[in-house]
Amino acid sequence: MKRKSRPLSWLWAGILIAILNVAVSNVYMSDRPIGASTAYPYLAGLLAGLKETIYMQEIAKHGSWELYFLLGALVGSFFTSLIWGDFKVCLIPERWKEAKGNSVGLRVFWAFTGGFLLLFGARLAGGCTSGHILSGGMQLALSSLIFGAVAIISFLITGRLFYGWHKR
Amino acid sequence: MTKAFMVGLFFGWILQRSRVNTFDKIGGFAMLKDFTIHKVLVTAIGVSSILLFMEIQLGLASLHIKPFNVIGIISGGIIFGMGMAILGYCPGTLIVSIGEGAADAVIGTLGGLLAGLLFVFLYPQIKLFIGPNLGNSNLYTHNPIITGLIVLFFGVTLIVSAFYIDKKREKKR
Repeated sequence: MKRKSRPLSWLWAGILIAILNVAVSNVYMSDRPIGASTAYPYLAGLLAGLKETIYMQEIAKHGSWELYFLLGALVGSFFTSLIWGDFKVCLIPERWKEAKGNSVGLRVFWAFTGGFLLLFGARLAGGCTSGHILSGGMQLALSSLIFGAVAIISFLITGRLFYGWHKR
Repeated sequence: MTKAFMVGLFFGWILQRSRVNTFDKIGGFAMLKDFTIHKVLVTAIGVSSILLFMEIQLGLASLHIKPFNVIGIISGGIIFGMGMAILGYCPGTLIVSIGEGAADAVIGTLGGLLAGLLFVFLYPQIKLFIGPNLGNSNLYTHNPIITGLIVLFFGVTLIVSAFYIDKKREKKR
């Protein structure tokens, strides 16, 4: 099915994410805000058979919630992208090509390294864009506001250094 | 768990339909070529902060604040920001992007799972130096009216800033 349409505007996306997060937090729903990064050590720990370790026991509850949440996100995005004709198997994104060229090896290396840093950092801090920036920000939590500020500064400096090496 | 799955479906739909899951939006923000991510995040935080405060006042939700482990938050924030700029996805959008066929997101997820595995192993040692824990505080006060004003100011400022950035970027084009 091909029916390219105008995507949701930034304003609608922001409002819908806000409503979703407030709805999830309701005591009659999940009584917790959204979050994603705990699912990674949880899944890795399950696959490696490490259920008895301290960390796995600490994150068991949140880890499984977030794993189901991400599974839903995967399925949701798969069907949405099929319906609206956005589904496309692609290894090198357009803007990466513009900045870094067509090398498959380069993208694979940096995607893996980036993914590693992303999750290791998130677990050190105890949250990511969902759990800290969106959900913690919504609660005006000090830990999350500081995390958000540090993360965005690091993000912009890294972006400047990393993509600035090549033509802009 | 069906609830978590349903929430995920909506999350996947919103992100996919607004394209904010893509490298071109997130990596594009790292290159300062696209500010969509920034506008969406700031709007979402602003709107939800006001709605959540009302929900809490009605007794329908409670706070779930993450601890402020100083070293963990700061070093984690730095490493996370680096990873997000290089990878061009965050832990949630990574999975949303796999759903629409992004193969580099699969590679990023493998990197993330390896980091997760390492974290499970190293946690007993890591735990010793992520502190000191400054507690689970936020900007709420004991007085609900003052807190309401703080939240309103916070939320409205964020929403207005999103519109401001939007207008400014429109002019540049």
